[in-house]
Amino acid sequence: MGKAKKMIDELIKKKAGDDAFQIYNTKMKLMFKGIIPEDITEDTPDNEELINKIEDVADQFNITLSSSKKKQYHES
Amino acid sequence: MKVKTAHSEKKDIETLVSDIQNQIGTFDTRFLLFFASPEIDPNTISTEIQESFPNVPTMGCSSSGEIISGKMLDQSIVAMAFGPEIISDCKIEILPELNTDNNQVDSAMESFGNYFNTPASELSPKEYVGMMLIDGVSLQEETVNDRVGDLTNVTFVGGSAGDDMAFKETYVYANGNTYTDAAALVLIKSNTEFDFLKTQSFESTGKDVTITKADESNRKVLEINNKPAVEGYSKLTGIPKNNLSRAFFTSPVGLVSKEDMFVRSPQRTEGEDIYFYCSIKEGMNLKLLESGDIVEYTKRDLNRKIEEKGYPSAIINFNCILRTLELKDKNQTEDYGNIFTEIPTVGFSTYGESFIGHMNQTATMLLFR
Repeated sequence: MGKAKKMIDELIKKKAGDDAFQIYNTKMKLMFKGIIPEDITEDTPDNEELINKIEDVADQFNITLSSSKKKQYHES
Repeated sequence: MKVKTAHSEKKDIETLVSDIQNQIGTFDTRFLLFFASPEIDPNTISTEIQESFPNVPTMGCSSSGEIISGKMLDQSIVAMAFGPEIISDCKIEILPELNTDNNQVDSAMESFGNYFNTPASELSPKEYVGMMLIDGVSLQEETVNDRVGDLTNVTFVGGSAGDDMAFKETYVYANGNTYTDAAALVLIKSNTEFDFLKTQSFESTGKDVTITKADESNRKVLEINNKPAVEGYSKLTGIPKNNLSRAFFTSPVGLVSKEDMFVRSPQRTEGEDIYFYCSIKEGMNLKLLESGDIVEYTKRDLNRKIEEKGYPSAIINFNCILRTLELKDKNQTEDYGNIFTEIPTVGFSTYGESFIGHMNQTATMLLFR
């Protein structure tokens, strides 16, 4: 539990930095892609479908997440 | 003067373009934006405008009603000339075959990056702003908005071209050419501050609307709350199935968060299915909305923006055709036009609005200080 929340927080941080308008923008972009950031909390189960969806969005944003399977693959 | 606006209701195209040219006069135009009724020959207007403003980047589209400071018009052309106090530089890119080539947004962003010597992903969203005009019957607005948002943090605001409610063929204009199945994107390096306004006259009812089955590419919803779409929507609104279209204007659905809402409007029923004016993803949780007064909500939101950031020197208003129809129905077009009397404004009635994503029954606006 909590992995999806960590991934979403990292994704928003890497895409938007600390700019409030960009944070809003990124959250809205995620909503249009079918992910509602405010619905994902520390208690959200590590559902594979959700994790994959977040990884797909990270790919679309050209962002590497620290938990990314691709990153782990490249590093191994 | 940062911008100059012009409009014409002349019938002959040469007289009409000359009218626009005379109103803009000797203003130092760095970019010209125009919106024209499809009554004005789409195969000629772009060339005529470009020939009248040589060496100026020009961009526009066909409309379903036009907006100029203080007025909502029909069968007219409206234009805004942007001067050097606003435009430091700008570049127009065309996405010419939206339904056959999926990589055009990537190419456009690469071209913007090359032109401004900075990759699109690194362009400052405080220094650069974009506008997009998309063929309003292409069904590609979601794809274009989504990919633009992937590739850059620069905000693009815009609308879908119209054709006076025929929903058959809409046109995008750029640098003297006319396109269908296309989008025109302009990236502006701004010399002044800018901001955005998104306004819609709705509140959430709190009623949950889960799209349990959808044909996303055709913007068709097959099931709402695990029931056939017509039945599910009828149950939510309390309107009988055979009279459902009555509820479409006043009770659309919305993608609602604590921070904002994005309206998705039903268009028509076909059997038990409901077609929307924008795509809705299967599994998406939405809320049923209830309508308020467009003029009051728009005034409220614009005044908040003015109190927060000061008076704009120019507004580009992408106003949904469904809002225009409601304003006409309620005899409020004059009141809506009056909201913008004191601010140089240009705009049109759109087949969908762009701001981060694609939406309906909304006005998205770009405001320059």
